[in-house]
Amino acid sequence: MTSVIFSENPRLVPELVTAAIEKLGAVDVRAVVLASSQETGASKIASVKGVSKIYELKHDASNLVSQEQVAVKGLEIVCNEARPSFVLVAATRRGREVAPRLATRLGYACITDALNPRLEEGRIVAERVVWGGNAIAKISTKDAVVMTIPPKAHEPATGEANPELRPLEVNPGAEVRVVGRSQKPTGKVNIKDADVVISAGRGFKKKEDLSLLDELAQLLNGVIGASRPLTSDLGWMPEERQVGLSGVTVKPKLYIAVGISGQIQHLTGMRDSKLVVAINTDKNAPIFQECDYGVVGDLYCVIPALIRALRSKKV
Amino acid sequence: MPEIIVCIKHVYDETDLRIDRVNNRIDFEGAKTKISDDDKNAIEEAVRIKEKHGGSVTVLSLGGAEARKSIKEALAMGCDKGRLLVDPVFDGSDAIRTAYVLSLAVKKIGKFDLVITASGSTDIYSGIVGPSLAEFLKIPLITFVTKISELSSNKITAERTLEEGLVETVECDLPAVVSISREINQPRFPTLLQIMSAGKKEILEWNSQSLGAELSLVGKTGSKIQVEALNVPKSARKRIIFEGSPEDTASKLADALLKEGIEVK
Ligand SMILES: Cc1cc2nc3c(=O)[nH]c(=O)nc-3n(C[C@H](O)[C@H](O)[C@H](O)COP(=O)(O)OP(=O)(O)OC[C@H]3O[C@@H](n4cnc5c(N)ncnc54)[C@H](O)[C@@H]3O)c2cc1C
Ligand SMILES: Nc1ncnc2c1ncn2[C@@H]1O[C@H](COP(=O)(O)O)[C@@H](O)[C@H]1O
Repeated sequence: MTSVIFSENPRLVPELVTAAIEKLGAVDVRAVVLASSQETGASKIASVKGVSKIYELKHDASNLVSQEQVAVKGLEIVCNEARPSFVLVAATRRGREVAPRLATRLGYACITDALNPRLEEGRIVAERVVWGGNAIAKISTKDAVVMTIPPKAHEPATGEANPELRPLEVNPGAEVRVVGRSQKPTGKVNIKDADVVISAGRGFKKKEDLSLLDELAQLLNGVIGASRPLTSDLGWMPEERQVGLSGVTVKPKLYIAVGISGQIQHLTGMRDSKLVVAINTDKNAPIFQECDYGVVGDLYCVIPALIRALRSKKV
Repeated sequence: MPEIIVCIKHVYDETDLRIDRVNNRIDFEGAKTKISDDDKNAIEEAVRIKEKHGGSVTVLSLGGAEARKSIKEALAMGCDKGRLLVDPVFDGSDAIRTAYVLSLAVKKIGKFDLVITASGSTDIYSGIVGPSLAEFLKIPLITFVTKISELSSNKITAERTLEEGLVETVECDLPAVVSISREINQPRFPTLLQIMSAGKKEILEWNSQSLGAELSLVGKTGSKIQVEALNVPKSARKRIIFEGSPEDTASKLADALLKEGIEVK
């Protein structure tokens, strides 16, 4: 089976290689990367064992071209040549635009946010979280398919390789023109990659109180996340700290939910954490059904006590 | 003056479903229905554009007869007319087939400047319909829009927010498809008067015939993906709960964390 994989972020390509080969039994994996006319770094990062060819989509990076347009056009050309049984695209926002457009153009099926992709009796099967996390749908297709794969769902493939490099000039047209890019300050905290995530919820009464968690985060070498009310509704924390369905999915070694009720949309974003701890005043909060250890109590008392206890017990 | 089309999906309220963990069953019977959450932001944005630039807003929904309720709500929020795409042959359409049917309706409306969708629907959150619709219509697409900065008679400029705080400002010619993120605005609540007067606004029903839909391309037959099963997620957590004084419970929790091998600096 031939497969084509793509991400505008070459660092995600090795994860897609694992999904393609180990989960879906691809024998010929062709990676597609964006390479502006000046640089070739992306191909190097994507050259992991299992990749047979790398198509470098060359475009003029100076005129701020739409990456999605380059990708859709380039992938269309590659797929028409390679006739893959499936295409995997990393589920970044750009990837989420690219995949359905490509599928529509090629007449392929499309499965977004595909979990646990696999082969069953000759068809491609995957799971998707639906109904706000209340259900897991098992989806299948007999057709060629474009799937988006959430980052960090698969171990990255390793091992050096010497794939054939194929530069491809892409002229995507200028339907969408990028006039500027800016980086909002993100405080450089990345909750996605942290080993310990401590999330604050509506149990906090005011923004200033969040500092209660700073010392705990320091002790555990963790970062601070939040439930949605604290990000998009109250603006106490930036959007990229939001854990959940419409935020970030995390799977740290330790997740501590502080003053979070455990609504399904939140649980969806942390369900795969190794160890889950909850602190909540309400004994009946649903989060207690989804935790390994729980403390029924007021966070304003429990957090300082926990900090003291960890201090005195640490070896 | 811009002619705007806004696409909305009528869905079950996911917080009102009955989840039977023991029998691994999800019961939709009698659950409340609503406009898919972020579609309200799409409606709000369309109405704000109309308030600023004039023109009119048409609501489009593919769904059963019950979807009329959501269209009415959109009309109460300030949209002008509704089009319900309803036909038993549409049942079981996957997201790409849905986009196909919507594209036929957009073409039937004919004169339009902007089609607005949300980035994902509350029920299945596939995020496919907006991008796929732009492909069927062969017009430009801007996704994950968090601000429409400028709209002229032939051009739109918008900000889209990507990961890790990256904001991209892009522009394209009209007509175009725009998919919005919920941060773009706060949807309004219609007043009682608006709700009442919405009853007078026009809602037309279009079926496969009036849309000229290719029957092999819609519904279950046209769809390329199948939903084989709906399962309730399982939890295998330990659920060890400590109750008592803060000192006591915190101490037990600390012991547990250390035993689990959590490192303390
Ligand atoms: C389409 C959609 C997408 C969504 N996406 C997300 C998402 O990505 N992430 C997300 O988090 N939510 C999301 N939500 C919102 C979600 O449904 C919940 O509203 C939200 O998770 C609730 O946040 P919370 O637990 O902080 O607040 P609440 O539900 O209000 O819970 C607060 C908790 O704090 C406890 N508490 C109060 N005082 C104290 C105290 N002193 N000490 C300890 N505990 C205390 C209370 O007992 C309560 O359990 C989404 C909703 C929808 C409809
Ligand atoms: N049946 C439908 N009728 C009208 N618009 C829809 C329909 N399904 C999806 N949409 C639009 O497409 C967006 C994304 O939906 P989805 O691809 O299902 O996540 C929704 O938020 C709506 O704006």
